[in-house]
Amino acid sequence: MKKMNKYENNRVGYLMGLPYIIFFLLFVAYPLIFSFILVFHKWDIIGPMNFVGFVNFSHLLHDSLFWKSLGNTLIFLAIHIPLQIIIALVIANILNQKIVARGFFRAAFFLPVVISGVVVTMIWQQLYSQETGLFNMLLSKISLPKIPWLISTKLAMPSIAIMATWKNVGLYIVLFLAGLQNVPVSLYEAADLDGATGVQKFLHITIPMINPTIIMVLILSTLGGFSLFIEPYVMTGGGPMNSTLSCVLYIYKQAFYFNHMGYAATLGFAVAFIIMIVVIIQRRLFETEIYT
Amino acid sequence: MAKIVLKNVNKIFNDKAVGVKDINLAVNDKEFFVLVGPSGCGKSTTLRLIAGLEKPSSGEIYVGGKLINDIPPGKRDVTMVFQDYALYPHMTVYENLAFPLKLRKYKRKEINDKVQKAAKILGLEGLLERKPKALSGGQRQRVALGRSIVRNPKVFLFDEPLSNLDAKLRIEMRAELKQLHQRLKATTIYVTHDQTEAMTMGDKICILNNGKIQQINDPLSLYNYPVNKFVASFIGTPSMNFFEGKLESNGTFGCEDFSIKIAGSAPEVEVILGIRPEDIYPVKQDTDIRGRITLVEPIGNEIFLHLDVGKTHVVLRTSPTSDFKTGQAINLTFEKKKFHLFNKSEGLRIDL
Repeated sequence: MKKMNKYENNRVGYLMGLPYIIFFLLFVAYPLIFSFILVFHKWDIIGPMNFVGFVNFSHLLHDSLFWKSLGNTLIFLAIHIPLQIIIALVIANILNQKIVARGFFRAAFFLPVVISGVVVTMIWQQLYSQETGLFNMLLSKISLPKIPWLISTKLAMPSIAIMATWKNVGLYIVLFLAGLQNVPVSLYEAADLDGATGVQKFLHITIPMINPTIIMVLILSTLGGFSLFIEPYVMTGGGPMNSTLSCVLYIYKQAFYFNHMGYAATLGFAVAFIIMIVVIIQRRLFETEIYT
Repeated sequence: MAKIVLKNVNKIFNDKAVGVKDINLAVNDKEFFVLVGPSGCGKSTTLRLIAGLEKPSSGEIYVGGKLINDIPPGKRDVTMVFQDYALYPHMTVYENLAFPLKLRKYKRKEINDKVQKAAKILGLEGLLERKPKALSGGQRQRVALGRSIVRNPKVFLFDEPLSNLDAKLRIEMRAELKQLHQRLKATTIYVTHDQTEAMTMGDKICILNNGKIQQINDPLSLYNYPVNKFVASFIGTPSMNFFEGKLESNGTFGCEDFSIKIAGSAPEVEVILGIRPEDIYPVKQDTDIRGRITLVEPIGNEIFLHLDVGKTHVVLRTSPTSDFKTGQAINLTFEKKKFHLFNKSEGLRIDL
């Protein structure tokens, strides 16, 4: 047998990794480096890039629309994350028990996750529609006043948060299910003998035992929430009165409506920095040791 | 007063797999009762039925004269020590011990008193602030015990509590558990697959196989008067030796390789003759029973000899003074009146 030398051995390894390396260089490293360079420039795609130093940063600090979009995004997160975690946890808990057609329900709750966001948004646009929407028609049927889901500046963002929860909750149900199945059954049995009720078992055993999953879901939905784009883009275009203008939608508008590429890049880095701060705070507040 | 009675208890899982079949047993107040059997024999199921973690398919379970079939586990006044201890990993030792008391809405001071008392009994005083992760196997075992003790229950249930410990610790804990029982005097049901544990700890032992009770008795009666071949082979290490053969009307047992007079007269039936390893002796003079040594196992204070007697594999225990070699042919004799006879068809004991 011919002895394979070290170099040949490595070559095969690199070859195997090549598709990803190319992907990474092209779609992650290059845009990242390029947008970092853009931060210090003014560029409208067509003309030449002009170096402007820190002008983009000072602009950002005084851009009230950016801060509004950040506020909007935080409103979205404040509704979306707790709603999502609570619903996912409750449903996962139910699906973890021996119920009829468990397999069907597990698949059914996951279905919205794999449907295209644009499709989901268009369906919900119909559901939320003021005059012809299903929700308002049902409300009128039982003689309740119609709700201006997407028309009111106060309600538009919560409406989007509800829809996003419906779309994503299936993924978090699956994550929670996996977490729940890692909790040893004997802990619940010990708690039964110790005299714990169902609610006490949930609070004293389930919640602390699946803390790592809760943290993961919290961070994933924070990242997902900050990149809120398709929903307001398709549904409201950021309106009414910029009340659903999310950070990413604002960045998109700066880049591709107004061709402020340098400023959009600056916004992008600023949002990434803010996300990092938020995630660090979340972990400090909620993370405990891992027990399983 | 916590006498435990099971009446005609059956447990069938998913309408198919039988857990236990027609269990009838009574455990007296303050008794240390051991359920023992091979894996899958239904011993843990029986324990879980008493704990309330499983519901019987039929039958009645009484604790202290009260029917408890429909009472939830937490209200039965029983505690259980699990095989994997089932300590709450996110709680400190103190919180683990306090948890059942907290749920029962004891006052803070009362909880503290009870926890400190249990910790003192079990030697856990210095470990109260630790999490289970930072404890050794033996210490975890003690915490699991402590969580049961604090509640001062009528009934203790143990589900193979020592099987995760190493051999040395297991023997230590065995003695400790027994002493604890003498001190607390609570009715105890102890499940194990280890017959040595059963023999050394139990006031009374119940042997289960395939979901059915085989025999209930005190350890020595089980050892000396097994009711069937299963019990005979299960109790005792090394196991009892068996020879298949026939009884003659003149009281002689005969098999392929030898015959031996065991009674004045006997019915003519096909039987299995059982004899324990310590009741077989190697002798110098010529006898009817000859064996060839296949393995010598020196234990220290004794030797286990593995022999082939014809086609039958036989083990005997003898003193380490004698010198034996593999391949050596020896003559054997059986201790009179130490025979166990079982009928061949059902394996039930025959007393002549």
